[in-house]
Amino acid sequence: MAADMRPLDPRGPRFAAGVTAVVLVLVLVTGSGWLALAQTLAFAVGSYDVRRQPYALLYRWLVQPRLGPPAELEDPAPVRFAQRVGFVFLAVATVGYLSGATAVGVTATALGLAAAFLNAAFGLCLGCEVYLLLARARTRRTA
Amino acid sequence: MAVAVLAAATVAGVVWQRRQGRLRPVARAVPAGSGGATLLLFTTPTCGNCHAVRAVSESVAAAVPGVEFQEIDATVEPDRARELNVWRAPTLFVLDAEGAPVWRATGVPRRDDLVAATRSAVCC
Repeated sequence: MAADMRPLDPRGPRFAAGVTAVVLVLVLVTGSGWLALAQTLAFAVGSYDVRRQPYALLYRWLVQPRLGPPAELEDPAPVRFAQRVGFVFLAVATVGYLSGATAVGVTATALGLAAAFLNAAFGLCLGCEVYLLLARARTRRTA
Repeated sequence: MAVAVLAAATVAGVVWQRRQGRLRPVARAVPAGSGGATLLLFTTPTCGNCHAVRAVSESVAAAVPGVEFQEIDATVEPDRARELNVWRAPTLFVLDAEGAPVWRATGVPRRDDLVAATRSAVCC
């Protein structure tokens, strides 16, 4: 089954980033590896299909009906990439917290929180910015 | 901990936002000025606001005589990106008639600013 690549209402990912930031603050405050795992699963769904990401569903069911139609639409590919970056960070955080390597958990969660907050508050997609850095680094290695 | 992260991210976000879309002169460039210019946009497949830069660039290219718009996927042509020291997308250059960069901006520039920068690269 191919992923749904229709254009998105850009306010959905911003809302989802806000929810993510709140969840990650709770992870840092409580130190709960299970909450980190829940967020990792949310990212895993978003990495496959951003429309079925739990916070995106929340946006569509609860928030979007109260707003007008979006002024413009957005390509889902960058959003999906950002979800994958988030997935990697939170997977590391979950392993850290649950295995007792709390410092690893805290560091990875803090990085994830910074990225989610920048996205929610400023519309800065850190994962999207890093993409070119990675692509350039990769070609330098093979060059 | 959470507070420290949010504070640091806020500072980073404000700095980032202030730089967004601002056209900066490229240091050693002196416009060759033989009546033409190119708007050169570097994109990536994951770039969220490249379409907005494309729209404003195409509109400026249509409005200012002698200006054309070009787009490069930086992940397809990393050598061009390296040549012009591009690390982020969208990065937009205003090139003079000889292809030397005169202005650069990351993010979405304001149309008026881009028109002014483009005219300065075309004229003289």
